[in-house]
Amino acid sequence: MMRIHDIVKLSTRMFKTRPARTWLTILGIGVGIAAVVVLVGLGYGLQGVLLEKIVFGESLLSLDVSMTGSKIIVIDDKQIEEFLNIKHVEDVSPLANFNSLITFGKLTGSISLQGVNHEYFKYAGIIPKEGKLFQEGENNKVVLSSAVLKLFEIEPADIIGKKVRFKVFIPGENSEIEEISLEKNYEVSGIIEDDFSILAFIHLSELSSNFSIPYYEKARVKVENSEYLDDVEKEILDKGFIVTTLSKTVEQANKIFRGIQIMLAIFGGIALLVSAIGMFNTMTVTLLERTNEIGIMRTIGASPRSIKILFLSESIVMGFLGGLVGIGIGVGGGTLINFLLNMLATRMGGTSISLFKFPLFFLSFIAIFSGVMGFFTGVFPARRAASLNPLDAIRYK
Amino acid sequence: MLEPIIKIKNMEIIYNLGKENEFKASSGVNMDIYPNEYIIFFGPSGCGKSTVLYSILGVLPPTKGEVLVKGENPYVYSPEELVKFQTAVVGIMYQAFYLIPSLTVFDNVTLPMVFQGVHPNKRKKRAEKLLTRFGIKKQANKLPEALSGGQSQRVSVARAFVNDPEILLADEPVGNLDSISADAVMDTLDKININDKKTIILVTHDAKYLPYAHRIFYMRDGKVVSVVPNPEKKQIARIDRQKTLVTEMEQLTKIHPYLTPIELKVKSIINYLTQDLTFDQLQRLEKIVKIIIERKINSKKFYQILLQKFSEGGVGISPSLARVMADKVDKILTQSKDVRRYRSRLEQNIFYSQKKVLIKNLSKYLIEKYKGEITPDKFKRLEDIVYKRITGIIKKEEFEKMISLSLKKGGAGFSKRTAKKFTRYFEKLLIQGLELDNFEH
Repeated sequence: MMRIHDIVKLSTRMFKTRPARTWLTILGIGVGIAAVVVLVGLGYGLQGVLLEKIVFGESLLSLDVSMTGSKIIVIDDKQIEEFLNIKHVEDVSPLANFNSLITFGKLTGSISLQGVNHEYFKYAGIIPKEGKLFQEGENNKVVLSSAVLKLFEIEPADIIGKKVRFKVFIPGENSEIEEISLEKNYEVSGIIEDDFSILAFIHLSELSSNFSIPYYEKARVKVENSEYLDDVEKEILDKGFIVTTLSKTVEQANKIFRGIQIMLAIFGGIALLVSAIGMFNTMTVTLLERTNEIGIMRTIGASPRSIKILFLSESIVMGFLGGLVGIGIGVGGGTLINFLLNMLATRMGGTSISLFKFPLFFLSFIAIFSGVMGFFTGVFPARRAASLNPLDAIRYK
Repeated sequence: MLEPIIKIKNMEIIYNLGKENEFKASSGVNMDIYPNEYIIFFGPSGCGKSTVLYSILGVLPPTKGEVLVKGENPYVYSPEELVKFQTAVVGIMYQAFYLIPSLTVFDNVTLPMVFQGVHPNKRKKRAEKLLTRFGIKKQANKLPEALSGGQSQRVSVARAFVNDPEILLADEPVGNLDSISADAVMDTLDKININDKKTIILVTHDAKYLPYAHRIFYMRDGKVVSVVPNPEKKQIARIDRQKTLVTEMEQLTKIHPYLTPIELKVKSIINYLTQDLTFDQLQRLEKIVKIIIERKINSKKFYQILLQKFSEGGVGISPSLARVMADKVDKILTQSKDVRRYRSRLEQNIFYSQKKVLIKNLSKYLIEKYKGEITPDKFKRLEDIVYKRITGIIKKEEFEKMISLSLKKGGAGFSKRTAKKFTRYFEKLLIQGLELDNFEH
């Protein structure tokens, strides 16, 4: 049996003898692979762009419960207690919302002031864009939405750590509105991404300690396990509330994106097929070109199997390198496109996103797959090479 | 009793069997080749000698009959097993070297070991030994394209020899080489035969190399026509003296390698009828005529060698005959100088005032062969005809005809017999006078 080292040496000779053709073939496969990488990467990227915004940790396990608008069925403390009593419900975190005025230095503006417990952030999947969210016991902290910054026309750095004040409007019994000033300065601890709603989050107890909260705007119901989502959802719906689940949306989105990915992969696959045919062609030409050499080798001690191994390893090497080149072109190209798009987007006032995503497992799959593809394109020529009669081969012109 | 290392029984090989271009490359081949023999398959190209070689190598199964190498039929093996068998037993080298152009000399030589998966250290050791032995160590890291033909073929020998096989097959190994490189390669093979005790089978169509062999298999039209033991080598194969009577035939085969046995018999009779000298004497005579033509010896020395006893390296003929021969040769060589002078001026288009003198001289040489009176008119005609012949205006036959033609009809008016004599002699002068580069000092 031949040694691995020798096989590698003998089956990489084409880089010396026919460098141009070899590299062009590899490039051909590379472009095909790159097409697959870019297209599938785009699929992953799009999915990521969407899911990143909505999926965050425990938010998948929580139900968003809101009121229908009827004054009879409201989310109040009693109702929250009921939610907690539902089987498999782990926690309930309410959100109280009041129209307020925010004062920052000399500036004052109207804002929705939302009182929540720190768990709410987790359940709702809220993540900070700048700074930090407040933790338990941090009652003097406030988190603002990015729209607030626009209102004040300032940068995040200019406001984080600074103090703001609030005046809350509380709807009374007879549609009178009571004005209550919160006699406290709140330190801005973080900013969340939301350019459209002018929001501020403070600790729920900051509101409840100043006045009684008639009812909550909505609540997050955290379920023990995703398999109970449906049951709990049904029970809450029966009580007359509106429920939305993120996990359903995510599932739906994933399904759609899997479809998109498959479509993209098919397009890429066609490109790949073309380059595989190109490579097959090269291997066949190589076979003809090497017929003499095969004859010589066969008469000086190469067995048919050795010849087959040499051919196969050559095509595997080419396929694998084609895969690496393709990954290089694909990832590089995707990143470049993304970079250009983002440059364009930020210039036009949008935010930057990553449109392409290349998960490592996908790239390693492509690398292995390209080797396997090389193997298959080499099988036929290798078999023919091995079955050549040495004498005919050596006399072949 | 010595067992043959290769045994071929009633072998017949047909290419493209059953197709339109079916071709019988060899038939009825029988041979026993013994270990450590040096065998030459000799014959014209297309005589089937390489065919037999390839069937011994194991790549050309006989259509009929049997090939046994070391007592085994290689064609019963599967291709994989066959390779194992081949590697241990046979090595091959080709006329066109067939080195792998993309591999260095070192890698080419070790390639057969690479296929066996031999450890690199062991390969290196073996290759270095062989490269040193065959004088190509300095070339070890060069690619084959950087080698001369002689070097390439030595690489090829090293490669054939690297697995230390018992049989070395060589298909016209020196056919592409200049004589110096060829001799070097032939000596290498000879040493492998003598020192390494390997069996060598060499295919060639060049009679020059026949003395290397123990036995020569003369082949023609796919058949072995005769097997001739080389008397100068101690035979390995048992020669049945009664069966293989060494006769003049063997000697003639060497002189005329491509003639059939019948044609050789004809040669033998013709020699008896026309020449008093034996073939041995003729061969010796040829040798010394060659050196006098090359002007390496003078006429006196020539005469001495003619006279010398055969056993002492001479031709061994009588003094009177030797005198005649020496004189004749001397005369021809001297007189032909005028032909050469004339031709060389003619070819270079040089106007030469002595032209007429040369023509006159040449005509006079002819007249010396004639016993009779010559009129000035006749001589003038003769000069004219000589001029026409030497400038190539007329052919040999026209020359003869014109000499015998009467004066009235524009000839020289000699008898037919004289014309024949003149023509024969003048042709001898012409051939000797022909300009050949390496003749001139």
